[in-house]
Amino acid sequence: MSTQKEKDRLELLQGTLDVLILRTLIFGPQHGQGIGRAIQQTSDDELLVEHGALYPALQRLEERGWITAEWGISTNNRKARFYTLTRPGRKQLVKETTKWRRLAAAIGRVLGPEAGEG
Amino acid sequence: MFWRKRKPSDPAAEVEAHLELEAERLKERGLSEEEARVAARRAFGNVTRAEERFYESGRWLWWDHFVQDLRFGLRMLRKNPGFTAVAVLTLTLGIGLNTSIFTLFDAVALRPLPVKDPATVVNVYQRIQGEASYRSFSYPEYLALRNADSVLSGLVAYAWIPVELGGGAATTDAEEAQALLVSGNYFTVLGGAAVLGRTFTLEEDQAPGADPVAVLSHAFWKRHFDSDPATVGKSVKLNGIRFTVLGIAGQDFIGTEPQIPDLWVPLTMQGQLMPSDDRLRDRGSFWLEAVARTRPGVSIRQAQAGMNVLINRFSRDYLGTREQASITLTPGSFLARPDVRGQVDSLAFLVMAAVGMVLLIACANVANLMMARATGRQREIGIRLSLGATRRRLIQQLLIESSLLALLGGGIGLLLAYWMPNLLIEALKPPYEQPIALHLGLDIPIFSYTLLLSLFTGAAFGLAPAWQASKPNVLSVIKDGGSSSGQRLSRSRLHHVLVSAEIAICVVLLLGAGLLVRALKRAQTVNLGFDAKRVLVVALDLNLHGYGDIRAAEFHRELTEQLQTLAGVKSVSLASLVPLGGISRSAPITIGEHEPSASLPSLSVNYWVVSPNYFETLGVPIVRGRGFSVQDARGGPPVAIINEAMSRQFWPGGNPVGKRLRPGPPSVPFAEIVGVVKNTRGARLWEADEPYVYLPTLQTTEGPPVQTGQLGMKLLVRAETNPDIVAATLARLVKRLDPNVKASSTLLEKSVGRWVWFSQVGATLSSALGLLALLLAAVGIYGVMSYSVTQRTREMGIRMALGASQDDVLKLVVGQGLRLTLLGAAIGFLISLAVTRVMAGMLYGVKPTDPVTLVSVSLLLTAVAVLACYIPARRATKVDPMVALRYE
Repeated sequence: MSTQKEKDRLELLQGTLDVLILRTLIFGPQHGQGIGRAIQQTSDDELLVEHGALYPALQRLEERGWITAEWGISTNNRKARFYTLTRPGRKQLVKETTKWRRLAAAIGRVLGPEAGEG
Repeated sequence: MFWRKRKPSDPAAEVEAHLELEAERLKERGLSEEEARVAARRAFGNVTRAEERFYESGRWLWWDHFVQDLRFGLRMLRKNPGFTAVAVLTLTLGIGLNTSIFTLFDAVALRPLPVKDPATVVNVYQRIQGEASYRSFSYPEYLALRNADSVLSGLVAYAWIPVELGGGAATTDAEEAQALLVSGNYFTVLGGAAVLGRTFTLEEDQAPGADPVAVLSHAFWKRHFDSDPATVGKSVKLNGIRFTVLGIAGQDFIGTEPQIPDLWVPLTMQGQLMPSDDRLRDRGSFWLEAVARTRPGVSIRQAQAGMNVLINRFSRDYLGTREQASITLTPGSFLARPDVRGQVDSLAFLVMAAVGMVLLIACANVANLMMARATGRQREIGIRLSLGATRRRLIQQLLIESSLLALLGGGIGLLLAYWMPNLLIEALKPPYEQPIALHLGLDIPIFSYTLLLSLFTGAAFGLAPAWQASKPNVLSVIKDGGSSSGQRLSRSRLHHVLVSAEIAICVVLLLGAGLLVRALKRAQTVNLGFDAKRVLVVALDLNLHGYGDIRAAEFHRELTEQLQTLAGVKSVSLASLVPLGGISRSAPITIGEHEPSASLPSLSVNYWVVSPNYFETLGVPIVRGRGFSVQDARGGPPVAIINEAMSRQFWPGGNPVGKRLRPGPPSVPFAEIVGVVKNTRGARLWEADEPYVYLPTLQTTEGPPVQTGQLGMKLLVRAETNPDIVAATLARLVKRLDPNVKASSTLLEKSVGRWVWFSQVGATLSSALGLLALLLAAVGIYGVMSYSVTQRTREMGIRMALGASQDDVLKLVVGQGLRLTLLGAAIGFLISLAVTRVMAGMLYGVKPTDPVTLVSVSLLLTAVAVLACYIPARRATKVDPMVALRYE
């Protein structure tokens, strides 16, 4: 049973995770382990995601209809559940990405140019 | 969302697959099989947590928790059968009682009438301005009002009439039935269709005596004709007259009264069925009840206004009186008469409040029980709290347990409510003979009421224990099972508060009951103004055997002469109406010599036609002038006697003897007032100070018909010692005079009982409830003291070890109990001051602070409290100090 603090942390993470997952799936269907690995690699190991945390996010995205899932066979002949981006999911991704970019730009403006950039 | 739910095993499989993939990838990187697995798991994070969250996000957690708590609760109840039994029993009593009373009230007052489209049906009542009571209608009035077409789509009038089936030639086994005289539009307006044959129409209600037809009720048809379909068209003899059966009513049709009539006959047959008493043409005979249906779109108020105009026009033109009448329309129900309904509503409110209070006491007892049991579960609760359970979850679970108890109690209580209302009606029935058709089944409203009440009860007694039990003093609880004195103190305080509250409520109920009982005694011994002891009221059915006025007078004279020679008979007289008989007759009286004018109005006054012995038979003192003499009866100048109330009203401070009045319409000659008698109660017990006119019976053939017509008069016989013997002798004498005639004698005293029925019900019910409350409170006191003694075993041991005697311990425990009782009683007395003020209307001549009641209730309560404390106190004295000191 989750306590209240844990729930808070999770929600923050879910918002971010959602857009990362959707982005990853742009390149085609992928299973959970693959998504986790992709996020890690693409962010140059900056974003260390607990793979376990992915699954509730995936479940929510599936419930909202932004991704669909199907059992399939992976590249090395193992059974895995593959997730695909849907059309509404694509739209959501665009929305979220725009939001994120604007947020990042705004923060950057407030913080000013990077000190020590030479 | 729900239809997307995946199998519980699916997420687990997916997680497993993920781990394998990750392990593969790490193996490719060069790690060994074992290292890869471990690293994969580490990278994943907490697998169990993930699986859990996965699982949780896919389900309605609240439902899961609910089912869990439910199962746990049921298991808990099963494991403690003793506790469960006591708690459920207490709750069954409380909830069952409540539901029973509600069922009764619902059936009598809340349900719509069992007629077609009950929303537009209204009861019609009229009241004379200046008088408090409501009056029935006369037939001419009804006919005039029936034409109120603009606001009503139908006005129906009816009256009950007991009839003798068969009759005529000597039939010793004549059966009695209750018939309802109804206007022709009765069935069409109320929407009752015949199951066989047909019902009346206005056709059958046109000319008096023209249509001897009847519609049978379903029950009567079954009883009397064995449900024979060929009954339609057959004839049935009512009071010796042959009536043709027109049809059979449907099984569900009972009309607008809770009693079911055996037959319906047209109003116009009244004269035939009651030969001495033609009310159809009598403007002064008020005997009809009325019910109407409003036109669509017309509100009750509009209809009422319309009818008011009509009735006043009628009063003015037709009756020739100045009095203002007003019509009241109420939404149709069995008990709609405004003065009665108000009483019924307040009675119902009081009764429901009373049973509600009993339920509260029951709740307090169960709450105490639950708290006592909760101390045994402290360990379990402590562990759960320390494992991370939220307080809310715990309270939820405990509340579910108490709700289960309450629902169980409520379920069995429903069964109680199934047969208790019938029992109550049987026991408390007013003295009618007719079966009452109240809808006492268990249907949706009753069911929902019980359900809501049970849930509310469960919360009521469950909340406090749950709140208290889940207080997170985890450490001390796990260590020593919660026996630290700090906890115990706060807990026992709650127990004590509950018990004091119980006692307070109990006191309120007992005081209420005590006052009602005293009021009942008062009402039963009220001063009637006459001596009702050993007086027989004899009714002869001469009208059924072809007697006319003259023959009746003969019969009366002979019978009276024979009776007066008997040793056991003190006095015999005749009267047109009997005091407390429920029927009154009024006539327009003109005071003084003059015709009615603005200054000397004529109005309706009740009149009584009596033989000369009347005042002597009833023991009514003559205050002024004289009584009636034999000369008055034989003919001579017309005379009248009035009572004190009338004298005071029209000749205040003066002497009315010698003055004149006209006891009737202009056709009646003026009479001289020859005497004034003391006030007596009138036709109804509460009529105490009404003006009455007494007229002598006349043995001549000339004179006002009310005075010469002796058919239908009753005999009043005062017995010397034993009225029963006199009654038997009287029956023999009657039979000797005419074997066909039947005489039915009743004691006049008994008629008082008929009027105090209401008080009787109140007193009985409240006493029963008060005693029940006392029993529950006693159980509560016993329980709490018992518990307290157990908790304080160690303390008792120490006291005794230090030298306290057994008596000291006894006094200690009983003293504590008495202190609780005293506190509760004090609060109870304070509350009852307010409550009894509300009840003051029902307390017939008894002060709300009646000292006799107060003292007796206090004594009773103290005695019971001492008794309840005694047993635990004895147990405390038996404590062995050595054992107690080692007790943990």
